[in-house]
This record gives sequence, C-alpha cells and structure tokens, in this order.
Amino acid sequence: MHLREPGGCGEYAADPMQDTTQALLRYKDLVDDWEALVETSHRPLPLVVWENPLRRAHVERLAIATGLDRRATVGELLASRGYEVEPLAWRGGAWRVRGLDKPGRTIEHYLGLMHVQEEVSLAPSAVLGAESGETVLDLCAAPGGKTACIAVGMANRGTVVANDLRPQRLRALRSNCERLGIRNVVVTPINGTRFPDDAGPFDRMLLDVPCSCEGNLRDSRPTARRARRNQVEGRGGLQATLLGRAWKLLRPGGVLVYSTCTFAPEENELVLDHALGEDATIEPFSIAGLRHDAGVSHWAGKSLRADCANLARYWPHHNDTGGFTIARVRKAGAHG
Amino acid sequence: MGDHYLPVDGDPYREWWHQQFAIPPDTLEGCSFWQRGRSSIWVAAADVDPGRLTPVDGVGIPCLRIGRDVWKPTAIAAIEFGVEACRNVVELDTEETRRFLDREVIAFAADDPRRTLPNRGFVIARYHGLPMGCGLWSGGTLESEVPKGRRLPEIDLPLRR
Ligand SMILES: C[S@@+](CC[C@H](N)C(=O)[O-])C[C@H]1O[C@@H](n2cnc3c(N)ncnc32)[C@H](O)[C@@H]1O
Repeated sequence: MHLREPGGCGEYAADPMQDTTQALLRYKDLVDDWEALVETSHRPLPLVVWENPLRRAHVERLAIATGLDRRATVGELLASRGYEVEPLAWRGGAWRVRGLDKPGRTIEHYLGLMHVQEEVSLAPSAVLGAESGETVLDLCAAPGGKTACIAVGMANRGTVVANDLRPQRLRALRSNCERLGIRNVVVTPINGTRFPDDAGPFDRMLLDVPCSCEGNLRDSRPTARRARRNQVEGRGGLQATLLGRAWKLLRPGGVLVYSTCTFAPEENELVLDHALGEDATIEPFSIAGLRHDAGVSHWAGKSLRADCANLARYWPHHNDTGGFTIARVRKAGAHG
Repeated sequence: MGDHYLPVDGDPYREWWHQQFAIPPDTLEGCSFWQRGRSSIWVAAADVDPGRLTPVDGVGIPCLRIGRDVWKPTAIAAIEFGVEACRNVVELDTEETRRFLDREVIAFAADDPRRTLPNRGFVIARYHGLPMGCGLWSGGTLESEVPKGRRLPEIDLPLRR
C-alpha cells in the first residue's frame, strides 16, 4: 500500500511563504496554473458567514430593531453597518464579508444567527444532501462546522451523530451547536476506527478525515499553522481504516461523502482505491457556480479505479477559496 | 466522561417554561427531553435517536438544571426560547447589556419601572427584544448567569439606547 503518512509534508520551513510554495511543488503536473495556485495560496482567505435559518425569529427582531424590513437577511444586517457584503456565487444565505475583523464579537455571532466558515468547507454538506428526518454519521466532526451545516440543512429533524476522538475539540463542537440552537445532534467521543457496528446503519455519512491540511495554507491563524505542523502525528493508513469502518455502517443505497482539505492523491484517490470494493460507486457531481477539477485515475505510475476520476478537486485559485477534495460514494443496494 | 442520556416525559418541562416565562406550550411541543445524571435536562429534536451508542456526550442542547427547589434555565435555552417570553423578562439598554455579558451584578434604581418584577427568581435578559441569556433577579438587582465561556463584554452592540 502506498498511502502517504498524513503529515508527509509536515516539516515546513520557518518562513510561511516558503512553506507554502514548497508544499505545492508536487502538484505542478496536476494543476492547470501552478503560478496562480501559489499566488492565491499566499493571500489570506476571504471571511465567509452563513445565516442560520433556525434563528429566523431572532434575525427578524434584530432587523426590525435596526429599522430594516422584517425579512432582512444577516447579509443585509451586516451591510447596514457598513461592511462590504457579497453573496456566494453558488449558495444562498451565505456571504463574503469584508472589513469584519472580529466576527466573534458581533451580536449575530453571539446569538447564533450566523456561523463563520471557510467557503469551500460548505461544499461537503451540500454534496451529502442529507434530508430532514434521516440518520447521518459525521465520524470526524470537530469543531463541527460541517456538522452544523448538515444538521441545519435537515431543519432540526432526524439525527446527526457527531463523533470525534478528541474531547477538547468536541467541546468546541458542542459550543457551536448549542450557540446555533441545533437540536438534532448526538455527540460521541469514540475512536472512529472502532466505531461500533450496532450503531448503524446510517442513511448518509460524512467522512472528513484528518489529513495534511495543505488546502489550509491560506489560513494564517496560529491554530491552523499548528494543525499543519501536527501532521507528523498521523499514522499511515488511518484514512483508509476510517473509511473501511464507516463503510460497514452505511446502509445499502446510502451515500458517503469522503473529504479532505488536502490535494494529495495519496490522501484521496489512493485511499478510496484501496478501501472501496465492488459494492461502491464514486458518483460524479458538480456544484453550479463552484468550479472543480476531476480526480485522477492514474498517479505515480499506478492505475486506480476508473471512478476515481469522479472526485472533485477544488483548487484555491479557481474560486478564491481554501483547497478541498470531495468524493461522493454510493453503496450498492436499495435506493430511497 | 461519557454519560447516559435517558428520554424523559417532557410535560413537566414544557409546563415550567410556560409557567415561568409564559412561553406558548406549542413552542416546545415538537421537542424531546433527555435527562443526564440527576439534574441536567436537555432538549432535542422530537425524532432524535442516539440508538445504542455509548458513551454519549450530548443530545440536543442543555435546557434546565433541576434537582434543587428552584429550577434554573440554561443561558442557551434562554436564548433559544426567550424571544417568545412575556413574563419574567428584563429589557436591558446597551450599557446594561454589556455589563450583563461581563457577568456583572446590575442594580436598578429605586424608581426604575423594571423593579416591578417579583422578588426573586430566574429571568430572561433581553436587548431590544433579543434574549441574551438568563439572570437571577432578586430585590432590584440582576445577577448575570452568562457562563464564563460565553462572556463577551467587548460585544459590538449595533443599536442605540
Ligand atoms: C479535518 S478535521 C474535521 C473537521 C470537521 N469535520 C469540521 O468541519 O469542523 C479531522 C478530525 O478528525 C479527528 N480524528 C482524528 N483521528 C480520529 C479517529 N481515529 N476517530 C475519530 N476522529 C478522529 C480529529 O480530532 C479532527 O477533529
């Protein structure tokens, strides 16, 4: 097996600029415009917020108190205070906001009317497409941005099991879900590689595995930089083991979304190629307004499953976002 | 660390929110209630199902502390349900709200009309009708019950007054 240690490129130089360029060198052959990728990766990420539909009554009160129409959105509330606000091209109810340096200090954030989340990390829950009343497992969930998107998308009905190995990070997840008024989440602190069989079957699953985080190179917060350095602690094959475990818990006909915030085929296509069998189909998908490149079915001299080409790789310079890779996998059996 | 969450009959808790804050009972109708340990009640979606999972570290959101003679609402549930409250509510101005979020005790002047509240008990603090958390009202003072982790005196409060 040729799975790279998650953390294979963990040793960065002291200069963050040089770190970034170094880390991206190996993708020269994979990407259309490497210089543009490097240039974008050196710019900070736009700030993106989404409005929490579960707090409509609160948003309405704030709108009225502000003197706006009662139907005003969080985007309009922020714009009324002078922030420059631009709707996302591909998703309603979310905006890029300029000039808002401390979003955590806004009343919208305190009351859970909005959540701050990197734009491209809103994509996995859109691709998962969980419906109200379903049973969903988010196996590596903390700090919970994607859990929140899934749970809110299900209109506070059904069950999202949000699991993570790290208690400290689960605290952040609980705090986010509570602030947003999310009531359909069950939190568990279980090692995903040993998640119990009798917990399933689940209708859908998100597997947002720990990875080497190259897609986060634009995030300059100390926590993000630390995360990139911590890669070394990962163990080879962990991603494949998690995928193998998750697959057993998915119902026939169910959908699993596998995602990483890294570009490395070793952490994406090669993991899927290794862990998936004949009862799996990697399905093609696309999100209108959010450009992606196809996955690869050959890498480093190795031929992979043909459907690996259906992976979507989101390069930072294509949509001015962080980097991400997403696969949507369907399990054979009854649909519906 | 993990705990058991047991499904419980929600009627006493729906009734409590109704009695205490005059929140219409149907606001809490579509919810299930769960008890952790002796004194912690959580509110969740009606159809949420932890199945046979164990350990569990949360089902929905914390709602009430019971077990003493006076039940105490959580700050987060006060924010969740407090928009509709019409009893035991204190409206705060901008400066008071900031102090409330700094977990201070706020004293109200003898001629302040808000002093007509009953003598002692938990109230919902609101800013322009927006519930900011819960506090303990006693004889003209409001003790903020904002949890340490949610303290935010530097909050940007956009409205005048
Ligand atoms: C990429 S992050 C998840 C981000 C999250 N999905 C979100 O949107 O906020 C990967 C997570 O996997 C967790 N993790 C690492 N090993 C794990 C394991 N064996 N079982 C469960 N979770 C694990 C880490 O603690 C980390 O929080």
